[in-house]
Amino acid sequence: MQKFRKLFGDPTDKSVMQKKPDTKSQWMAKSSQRVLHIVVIATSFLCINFGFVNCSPVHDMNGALSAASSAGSGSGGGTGTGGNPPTPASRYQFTCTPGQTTPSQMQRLSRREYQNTIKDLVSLINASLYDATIQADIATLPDDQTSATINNNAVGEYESTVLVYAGHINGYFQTAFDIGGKIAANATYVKAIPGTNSCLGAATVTDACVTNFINGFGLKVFRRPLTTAEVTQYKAYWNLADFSSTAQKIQGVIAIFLQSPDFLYRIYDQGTVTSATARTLTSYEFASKLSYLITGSMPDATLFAEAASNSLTTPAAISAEVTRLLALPSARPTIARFFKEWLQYDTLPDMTRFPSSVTNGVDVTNLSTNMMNDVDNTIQSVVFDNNGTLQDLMSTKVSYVAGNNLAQIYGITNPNGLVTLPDNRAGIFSRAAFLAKQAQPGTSPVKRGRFLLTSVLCQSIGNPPPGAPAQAPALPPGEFLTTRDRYQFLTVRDQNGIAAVNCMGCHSRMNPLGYTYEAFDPFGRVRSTEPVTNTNLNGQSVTENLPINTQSVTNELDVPNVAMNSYLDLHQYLSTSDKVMSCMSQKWFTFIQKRSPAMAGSDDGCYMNEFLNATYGTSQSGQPGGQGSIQDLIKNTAVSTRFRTWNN
Amino acid sequence: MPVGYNRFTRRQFLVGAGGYSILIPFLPSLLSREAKAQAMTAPRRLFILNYAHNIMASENINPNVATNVLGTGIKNIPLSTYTGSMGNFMTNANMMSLKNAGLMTIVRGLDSLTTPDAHGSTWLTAGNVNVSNSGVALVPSIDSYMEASTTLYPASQTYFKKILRCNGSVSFKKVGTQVSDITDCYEEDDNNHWNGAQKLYNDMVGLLKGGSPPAPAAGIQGPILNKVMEAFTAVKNGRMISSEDKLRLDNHMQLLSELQSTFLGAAPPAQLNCSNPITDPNQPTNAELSYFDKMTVYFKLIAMALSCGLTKVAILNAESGGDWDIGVNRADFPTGGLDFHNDVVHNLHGFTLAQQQQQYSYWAKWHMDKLSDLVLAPLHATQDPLNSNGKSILENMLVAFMSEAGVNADPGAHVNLDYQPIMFGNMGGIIKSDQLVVYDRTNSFYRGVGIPANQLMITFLQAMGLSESEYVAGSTDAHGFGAYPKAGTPFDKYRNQFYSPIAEIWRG
Repeated sequence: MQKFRKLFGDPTDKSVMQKKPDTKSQWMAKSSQRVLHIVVIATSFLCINFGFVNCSPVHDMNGALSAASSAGSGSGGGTGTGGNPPTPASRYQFTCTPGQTTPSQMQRLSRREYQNTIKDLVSLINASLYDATIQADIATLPDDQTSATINNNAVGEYESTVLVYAGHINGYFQTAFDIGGKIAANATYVKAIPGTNSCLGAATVTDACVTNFINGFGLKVFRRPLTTAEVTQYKAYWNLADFSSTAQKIQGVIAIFLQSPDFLYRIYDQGTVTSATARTLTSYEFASKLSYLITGSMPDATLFAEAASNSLTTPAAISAEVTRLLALPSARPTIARFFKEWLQYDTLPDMTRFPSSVTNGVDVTNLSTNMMNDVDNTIQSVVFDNNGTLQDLMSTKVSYVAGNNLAQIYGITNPNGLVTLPDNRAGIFSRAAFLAKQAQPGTSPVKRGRFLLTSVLCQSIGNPPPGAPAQAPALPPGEFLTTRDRYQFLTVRDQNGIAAVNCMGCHSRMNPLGYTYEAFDPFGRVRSTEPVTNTNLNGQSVTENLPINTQSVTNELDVPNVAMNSYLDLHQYLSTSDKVMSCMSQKWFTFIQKRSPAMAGSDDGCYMNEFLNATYGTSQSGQPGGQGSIQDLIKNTAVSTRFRTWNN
Repeated sequence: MPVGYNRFTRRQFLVGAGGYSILIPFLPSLLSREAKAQAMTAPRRLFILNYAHNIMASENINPNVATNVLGTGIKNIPLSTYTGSMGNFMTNANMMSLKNAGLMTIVRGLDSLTTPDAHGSTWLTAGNVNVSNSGVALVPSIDSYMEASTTLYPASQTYFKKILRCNGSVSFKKVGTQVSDITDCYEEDDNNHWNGAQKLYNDMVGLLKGGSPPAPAAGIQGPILNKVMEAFTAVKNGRMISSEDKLRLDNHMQLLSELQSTFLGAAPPAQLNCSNPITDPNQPTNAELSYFDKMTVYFKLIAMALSCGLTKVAILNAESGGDWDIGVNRADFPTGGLDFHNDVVHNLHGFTLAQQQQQYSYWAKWHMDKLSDLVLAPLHATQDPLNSNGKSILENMLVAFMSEAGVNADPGAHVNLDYQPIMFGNMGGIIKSDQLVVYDRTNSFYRGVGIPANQLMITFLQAMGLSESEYVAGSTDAHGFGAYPKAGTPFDKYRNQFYSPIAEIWRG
């Protein structure tokens, strides 16, 4: 180690390190000075990044921020001139070609949405209809969770409804058939069918009653009024000779409704034609789309009423409705899905895999659940309870600590829900869920850095080169190195100062980000030293507690050569980073559209710019601290004409 | 009832779309394939002949070098263009004919990332082993997943025997209730040496005798589904939706039609060439039969069952516990009447390496010859009665001949590295046949471990139509098809990544 430092200089030498980053206002004010400082640091070891194209920064798909723009000039489909800090004129923008649209995709209800919708729909008749039988029927549906991968690495799960399997078809049928049967067999339920005014319970069911049934129940099922042709079609079903009794007619028609494409899929093609390939959603379609976006279910009575009166036409009205919907309990798990799919904290490793040297007395029972609940509730606290911003997420000390095991990790004595964590644990990525997920089972600066690079900054990174070892080799006898130093020697330069040419291209991008979190052990406990056990030259097992070093320099943020004393500095930079905000905008686009953005230069770029600008908030016009909230992002999404358009 | 389509083509397309990408450039070709696929859904069929020891060592299979670069650490050659020797156990004329017709596929460099274990590393189980062997909890193997699949066996198709599975008690056990498990199929049972073959015969021939269609189910389910189908047709044809969404509706409708058949009393598939292939099924009952005799019966009956639509899956795991059989006709065995498992495979007799290789080759050649003559050739000589695409039964299915692999350096050990399946057929085009695909195990992306053998099992499962959700359940650390490989091993970083078929042989 000393040899390494002598040869190439210690990259963490405090004589050349920046002091702790300024507060945000200071940061905004001292940009030019900062550039001068960090240029000095660039001459130390991280210059090894140059010249290795194998993993050189490349702009991610779809016109996302180019790493090159971090140096002050936009590229990769973006515009703007970067700068340090970003100025209003240089904020990153996706390349946008209005009108160059991708056909809208009809979206099948996921099992989560289907369950919510069935529950809400049958509750219009009687909440007891949603009984154990129906729940068991729904439970047979495939869960629609699919592995999400980045560079062939499984990083989490996302909800995918593109494909349909036999399990769906069978489950849809059984659920629909059972619901129809239960309603038809119960006179009280029959009389409560929407739109019928109890007429289906009469001894003789009139044609007008059937029409009312089709229109009334169909409105709730299709989430829009039926067309004349559809009413005719469903009345013909009622009159099928195969349905020999009123009960069979009720059961049969309901079962057909609940398996119909307009119930199982969201298709918004009934609106006004605005061009050869576009239609504006009807008020009902808009209400349905908004409802599924925020609550994950069909519109409630208020939304149906607003659709009927076509009152959701102005930004103010739409924003107010979004505010109302966000206050519903169902909004929290629905919006939480976005953060789960973006940040992948809902797939944590099996905690029993950690050896006792890592668990160190922590009971791992339910630990994964406690960790995930912590992040869920922390995000909800920021987003819903405090109308927070991305900055707030990156700096929050609020945490939800429900179990003694998580409390033990956080060093808290009162694990009863939302707590305020100590100053040494601020920002969402300091939570145990994120830190433990990247452990293997010791800390891995590489995995922690890769997560930030690929998932939070949306940067592409290549695959490991042939022959790269899966793990750092064991230390030779007599050597005692921290995890950081071992990775540094293995992947950037060895102890003799020889460059690891096949590795450093990528690792000089990933490692520095991960090094800043070395103050956390694999479970996320704060540490100042790392115990390293090895045999000494006499063959005796010895443990040395080596000091932790979290200082680092990265080129992956909006400006090059950013020096950090710890992850706290990194979080501050991330919280205002154009890269992070553009990444979040891209992920939000993917989440709501259920697809990736089209190639750079399409209308998708325009839509993502709307998200990006909402996230910039007033800070875009040079007002520090004016970042838009997550709720603002959702409101701006709903207000957009693109949200209200069906393309083909 | 609506016309079905070739689901795999659409599904694979949609998988691409579902992976957060839009495959617009491929759409025109896709639509043309849809238009021409006015055929019944091809029942997917699979036959695996497996040996739970390292018989087919890499040195015995030619060619062992591929030249065309497919990707990093991956090469291939079209086998139909290869004119040299395939190896000393692959000389059968029928087999060579299939190779030349582009219906043969070999993959080299598949590795199981679990710890080798006597009889427990067999790859059909993706690491699942017998409790008594290693203490690892019993979880489903590939046949158990197929048995339980409602995609493969919808409720309407009760006339299928779900799995024909010949296996002993050691290598792996079924988890399920509906597998037609031919227990003791290789046992040198003191009381009945014929019981396995006899059981299979009775199962299969009994089905032939009782082939009448089930009575239509009473009730309104059928009419309901008819009208659901009508509603889907109306949306597909009359709404402003994309071509891609129309394909998705097609897919939905095809699955609806399968459910529909449940309630419409659909007849079993047409049964052609379903005559009894065994001349004297009930004899002998107690006489000792050779392994040769029994395997001959198995091959004949399985070929009949697959061609007649009596089952969709057959697995012969060619070894069992108890008294080990010689493995080949003893009279034909070059070194005399020895216990194949103990004396040859584990070399308790003290053979030289060359002698072991000779005996391995003899074993493999006998099986390849019989497989070729009794299964492959008849299945390829018959046009598939269950699919109107004009292809042979073999072309519309997949036959895999596999064993643990191993290398000459340690031929007796249970080796879970460098498996080399030899496959025939291509599932109607789903599998990219006519290839020798070689994964570089010494300088590959996976760093010296080829690609996970588990991916071949997933290739089989997905080719048979199973969705990911139908086979990941029940997986535990290092076992099954979900959490994989084992935590704490050097391969830990690849956990939960192997849900994909092998790209180089998967057309989908």
